[in-house]
Amino acid sequence: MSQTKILVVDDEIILREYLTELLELEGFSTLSAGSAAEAIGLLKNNQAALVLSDLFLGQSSGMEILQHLKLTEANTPCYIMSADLTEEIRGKCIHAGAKGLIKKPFDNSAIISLIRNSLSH
Amino acid sequence: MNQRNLIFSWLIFALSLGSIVTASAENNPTADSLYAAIEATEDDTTKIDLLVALSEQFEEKDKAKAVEILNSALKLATAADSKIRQASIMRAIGNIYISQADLDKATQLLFSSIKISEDIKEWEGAASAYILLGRLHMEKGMDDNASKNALKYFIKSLHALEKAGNKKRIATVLNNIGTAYGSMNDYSTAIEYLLKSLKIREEIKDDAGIASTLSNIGLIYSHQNDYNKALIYQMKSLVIRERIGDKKMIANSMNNIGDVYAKQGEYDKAVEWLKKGLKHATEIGNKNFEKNSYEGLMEVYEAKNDFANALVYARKYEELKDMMLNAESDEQIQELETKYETEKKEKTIQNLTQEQLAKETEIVRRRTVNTSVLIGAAVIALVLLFTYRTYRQKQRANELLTKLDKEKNEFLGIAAHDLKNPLQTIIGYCQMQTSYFDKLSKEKILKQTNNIEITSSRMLDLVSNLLDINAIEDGLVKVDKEKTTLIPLLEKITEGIENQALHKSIKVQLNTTEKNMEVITDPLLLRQIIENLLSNAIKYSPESSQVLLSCTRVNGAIEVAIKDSGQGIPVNEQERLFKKFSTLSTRPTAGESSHGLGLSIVKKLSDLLNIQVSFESEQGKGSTFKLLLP
Repeated sequence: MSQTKILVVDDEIILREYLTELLELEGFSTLSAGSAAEAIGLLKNNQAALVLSDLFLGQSSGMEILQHLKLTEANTPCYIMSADLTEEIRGKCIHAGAKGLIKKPFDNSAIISLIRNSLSH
Repeated sequence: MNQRNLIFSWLIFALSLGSIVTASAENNPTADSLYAAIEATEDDTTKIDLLVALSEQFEEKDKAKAVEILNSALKLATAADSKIRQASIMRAIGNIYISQADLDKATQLLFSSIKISEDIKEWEGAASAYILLGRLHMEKGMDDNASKNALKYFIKSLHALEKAGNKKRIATVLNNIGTAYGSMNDYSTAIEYLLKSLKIREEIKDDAGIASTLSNIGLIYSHQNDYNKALIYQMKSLVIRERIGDKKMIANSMNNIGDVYAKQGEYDKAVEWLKKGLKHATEIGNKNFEKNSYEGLMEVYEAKNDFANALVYARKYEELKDMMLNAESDEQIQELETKYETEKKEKTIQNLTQEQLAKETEIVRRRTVNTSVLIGAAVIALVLLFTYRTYRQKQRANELLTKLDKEKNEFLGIAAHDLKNPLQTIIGYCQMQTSYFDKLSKEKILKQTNNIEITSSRMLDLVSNLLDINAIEDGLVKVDKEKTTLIPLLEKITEGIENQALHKSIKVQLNTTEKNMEVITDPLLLRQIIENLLSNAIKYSPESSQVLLSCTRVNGAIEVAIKDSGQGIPVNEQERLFKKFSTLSTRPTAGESSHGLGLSIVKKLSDLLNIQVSFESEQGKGSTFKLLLP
């Protein structure tokens, strides 16, 4: 049985490394991208069960990934992570189709529970 | 009257020339009964006293009418040869003229009143006229000359009162004299008079007066920067005011205490007292003290660098000031209208009695009107210019506060984002090593620990950069210039940055044309500038490339250049290159962090050392940053 694939998007290489390691330790397979364009490219050629993306990706943004998912009518749940989650940002992300928002820094156990819960529905 | 009020009264005067409205105090039952009594009495002195009482009914709302009635009373008093009444009526008319800023007429009448009072040794009357003359000079402005003149008359009034032996009034005048000396910065004399006033007020148990003098002594000590004494006197004054329930002045005392704490740099206490003062002032509806509280709070928050709160109180202060100014302007319109009416009525009387001079008067009047129109136009132009400049200054101050507030929010935003991100990595890895210890290989743990170290170093860099920027902007960076030999300094810098370069297999090459190049500069700050530029050059250059550091003479000056082989800076982003927190589309080539602070520090430090920074950049071919040393 193939492993569930999760796409991790963050412009910080080390943060990306940490997240993919964590997910792999929990039995998931991972894809990783450093920008919205790279993530969209991976989504076109791979079947991801869930996307975990930072909001601020240097010159690009997690919102671009949400727009892509909406346009392609993909049902892939996408969670947006950020250290700076104002009410305005929350509203925009949810409106753009985010499944949920995750405020940094978060606990390993919390994010794993969230992902498992989301995938079980 | 302060400068702004003066300007507004000119404006209002100009406006009132086009629209004259007659103020009226008719339909007043007291006035009606006084009219009836005047008609009924045949005794001249009674009639005079009734006329004076009647004039008081009009003094607030129809000054022209009040002056007209007082003039009738004066005629009767002169005819009856009642010196006391003549002097008293002259003072009353003089007082009205002062309120209308007709200072020449007021002066003339007050001197006549003094002469009569002194002739008959009526010292209290003479003292009252001297006090009015003092007030008249204070109305002319708060410069040293006006204060000296005011003081001269206050002292004369004091001498007159000493002859009359009225202790309460002597204490009041001594208090006024002390305050006038204070406004002339002669603090020791001010304290001397205030203490005399205090002694008398204590003798006669005038509690409100004691509190007022104590507060004034506190203000003088505050001017002398003796804040401990200032605080003691303000506190004593407050205790008395609270005991006698003088609510209005309690607010004033609280504001004064807040001001003293602010001057001492005890900002939290200052805020506490100013807010107490504000609460009291608001409760009793005293706009003046309320305004003082807002002003004090605005200044304290500004001194605390709490610009958001400073902005809040600056706005409240300006709003209240504008509101009060508008209300004051309405009153001034009324006053100017009645003043105009007074003059008109007086002119009519004069014309009736001097018909033969009418033609000459008309010629003179036309000339005067023409001259007045010209002067008025010039004054209005100046006033408009001044008002506009004042408005712009206020607007600029608000813009500055808004900008500072925005910068502070930006700072907090950056701190939140750029510090929480690395914390996520550190916390996450630590939790991972605890939860999955058995599943992780030695190599994995080593790699993770290395990542934690890199992330922590980046956090430290960010915090150091933020502190550096803050120190430079607050003027806390000390510049120690000395004769510096450049090449050894550049060699040390190159050695120091070797580690960072080695990670990307980048070679940092130092090129110089001569060995003994010397400059007068601060070597530590220059090192920080060059290290920042070299670090950037390494970050943005591809692996296994070269970064060149050169030092040459250009037209007699020394130029240090740092050349990278990165992607270059896009033209549309070059303008904001040296601005704080400006991140570019070009990113470091090996995932290094960039917070947009390094070049801002370079620019600010270069400005401190009078170094000119420039750069050349071409996309795809790299960038060269040049430092032209003075």
